[in-house]
Amino acid sequence: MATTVVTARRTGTIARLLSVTDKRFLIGSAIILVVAIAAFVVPALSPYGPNEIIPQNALSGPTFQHLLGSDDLGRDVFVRVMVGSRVSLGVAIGSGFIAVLLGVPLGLIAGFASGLVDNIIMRPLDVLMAFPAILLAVVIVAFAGTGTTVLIVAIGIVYTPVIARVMRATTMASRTQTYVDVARARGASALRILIRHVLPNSIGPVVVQASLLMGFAILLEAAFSFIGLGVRPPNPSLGSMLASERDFLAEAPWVVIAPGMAVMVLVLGFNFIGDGLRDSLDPFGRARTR
Amino acid sequence: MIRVLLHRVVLIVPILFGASIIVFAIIRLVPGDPAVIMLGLNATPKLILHIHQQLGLSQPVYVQYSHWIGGILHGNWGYDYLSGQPISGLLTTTLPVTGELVVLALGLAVALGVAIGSLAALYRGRLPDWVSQVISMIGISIPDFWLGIMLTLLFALVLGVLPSSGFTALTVSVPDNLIHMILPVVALASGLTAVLIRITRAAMLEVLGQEYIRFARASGVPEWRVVLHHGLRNAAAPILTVIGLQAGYLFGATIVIETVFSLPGLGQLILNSTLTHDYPVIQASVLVLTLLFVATNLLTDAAVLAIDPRLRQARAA
Amino acid sequence: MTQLLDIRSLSVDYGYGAVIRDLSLTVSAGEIVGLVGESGCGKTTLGWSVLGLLPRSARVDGSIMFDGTELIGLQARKRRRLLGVRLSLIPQAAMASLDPMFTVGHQIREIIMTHQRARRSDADATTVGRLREVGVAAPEARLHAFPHELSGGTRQRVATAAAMILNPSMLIADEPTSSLDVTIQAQVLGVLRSIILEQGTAVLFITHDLGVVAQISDRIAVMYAGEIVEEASAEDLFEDPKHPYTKKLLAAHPGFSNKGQRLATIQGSVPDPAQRTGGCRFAPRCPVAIAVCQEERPPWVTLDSGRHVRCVHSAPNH
Repeated sequence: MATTVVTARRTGTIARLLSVTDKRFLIGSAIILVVAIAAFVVPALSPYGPNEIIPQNALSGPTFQHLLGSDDLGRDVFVRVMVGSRVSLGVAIGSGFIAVLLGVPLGLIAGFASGLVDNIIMRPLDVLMAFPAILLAVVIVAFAGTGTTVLIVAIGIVYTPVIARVMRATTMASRTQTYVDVARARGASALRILIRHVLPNSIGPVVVQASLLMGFAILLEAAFSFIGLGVRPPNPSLGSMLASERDFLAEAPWVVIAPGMAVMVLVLGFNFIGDGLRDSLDPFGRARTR
Repeated sequence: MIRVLLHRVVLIVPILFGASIIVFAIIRLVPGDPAVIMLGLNATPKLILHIHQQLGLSQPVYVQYSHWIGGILHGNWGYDYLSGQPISGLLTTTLPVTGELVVLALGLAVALGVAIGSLAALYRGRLPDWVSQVISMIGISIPDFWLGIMLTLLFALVLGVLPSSGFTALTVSVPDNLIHMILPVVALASGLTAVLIRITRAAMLEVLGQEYIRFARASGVPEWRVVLHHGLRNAAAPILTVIGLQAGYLFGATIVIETVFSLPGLGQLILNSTLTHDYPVIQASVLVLTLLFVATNLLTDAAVLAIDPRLRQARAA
Repeated sequence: MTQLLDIRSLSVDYGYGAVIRDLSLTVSAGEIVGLVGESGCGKTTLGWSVLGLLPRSARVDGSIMFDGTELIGLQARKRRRLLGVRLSLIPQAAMASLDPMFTVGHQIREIIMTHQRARRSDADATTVGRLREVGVAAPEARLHAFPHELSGGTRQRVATAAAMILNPSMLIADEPTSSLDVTIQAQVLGVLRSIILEQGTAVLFITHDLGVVAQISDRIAVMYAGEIVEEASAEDLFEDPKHPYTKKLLAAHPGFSNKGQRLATIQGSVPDPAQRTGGCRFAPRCPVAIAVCQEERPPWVTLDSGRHVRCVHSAPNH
């Protein structure tokens, strides 16, 4: 009897994650999937390379040749936006992965151990959270230099405390659940309880938080590349495109509109996924805060 | 209430200490000799030595830290190595610009967010609710600096009614200053407005379902008064808490928004010093913005305590 | 006797079946009518219908006349002029019926100033007088107290004072004592009863507790699944219940069942609005149900001495 309860609980969360049919979740997943596929297919099929300069086509408006027009050097905006989206997705996934990789074990241990261990783990993370997120990323970039990899790591570190806090809270809540007592009574080791019983049940809120954070990672990447602290030109990134084409706003607004729209669509996708997941996993949840 | 607040302040001290260590560590974590990186192509042995002496780089780390933090506590923030100016001077000229930007954006976001969020709650499930949810979803997803550029396109380039960038000090001309602030403030406020719409809607929905709201309605109290007086007052605590947490976003985003609109504020100072590897200036300006964020949090905490009579009379736990 | 409140053929539907079906009930001036039933039978919805507190999505049919004014479809502005002045609510859940952010004085003053031009000091004097009448100790000091500083009993007294502050001619009391301890419940009921009798206020007293109804009511209406199944004077009802549901209710109550007997329980629960059928709504749980009960709605039978019951077994041609 106890065994069935335990397994039912464990497969419960993961099965629920896989079977979410919330409309927003499906729309968000579709957006991300379509952009991700297009980001690889379009540059491969297009006759233009993302950095291919065709001076006679400079600042051409949207035409059949250049669906979204071309920039001041005659580079195809559509291809560049797609390659830029690929970078954005990479930063989102990479930094989300780092935040989860660091935050989940930290939060799990802090929440399960409590007491001194909890303090040793959480107090330094509190210090990180005392910084406004963007500033903390600037601090890291300031000593580590600019570039895509640094940015991914910086954003990952910025969001680690957020993931750790969510993980810690859910772990503390599930620590007192019956299925943990049952496992303990059967003589399972602490590590085994953590990995087999507590982790699967705490993973839902972490997935929700991670998908929302990935949306913000895309915003942060765009902002950092825009101010010159992120992806270095000539590599196309949605943010750096905005920075270099801003001067042509009056003559060729499309070179500025397209990358910004792409950022918004990507962030919207991740936010839809996060909102949809949260409402299906926790119908009584409060409105999210950033 | 004062004891509760003092308790909070005491809790903040170690966090500020940790934050100052991280800021201090920037210069020590630079791979290689920070003086060489700071000077770049201008590096000569003489200049390198000068910077080493100025920053005390040859001393033990804890001496360097206590020297640095001691100086700051006495109002000596160090020197900008490029111009030789004292950093305190840079802070006093840039801080008012950023301060004005953040305060105006905060005001706009709170006014709009709370108003739209309350409307959404009042008209739950009907058209105003839908519209407000769409607005907040877009506001959360839109890159604020891009919104700023788009606003420039519309209001400066197409309509020609507002300046696209630039700054006039408040002391020079108030109307001129405000005209230059409109677009940056709107752009900066967009994200926080969207978040506040959501949190206000949720908090108001919870409050409006309470028994005392029903009792007020059943006593003939007009609906506007039920919502504004009883509703908002009870929903204020969660809204204030979120404002405190989100203020950090405003402080951080000034870096990007000030760049878009060429505002000579603290954010631009941070960006320029980062691009030029001017470590003492980065340290000082990051520390100031972080302090402001922590102070804002403390203020909103105090406000939450002040408005709720149950907390007002509570003792420190 | 003039009917102060006259509810005729009221139906309320939230969109998933009728919560109240074709309900009629009257309350005369100065009369105390108890409305009893299990939770989920539509008692609170009935109270909200009278006070105009139903959610917008609710569909309402029928008529509710209060002192010559039709309440259904009444403009919000006109309704507000009645509420708190001539028609008041004593709310459910004493703990939650006062706004935690404001003092007692502020909240009662708000009601006075909403309806009358009054000076603050006069309003406070009126409030202190009422608080004293409902048995609040040291009323002057209580003006400045916040709800969380008061006990549950005192809070309910304050809520009663707030409802009575402008001498309304009618009160809707919705489970006003059910969240209180039994001893405090008796005290609060006593105070309520004396102030009601003194003012000659008519009351629709909504409760699930037969003991409470017995203490306070002149006449009792028993409600089941959105309908009134029996209506009689308090004495008649307790001495000689006619409807099988009323009998069951009495048998399940320790105060009214015979001593030494095991307390009865009623099998099953009140059906969901969505699952209600056209026939007698109690039929699925009724020990004496016959075939016709499932199909036809029982008639509203008027017995001698002016009592009513909705049951085929009481019908003359049965």
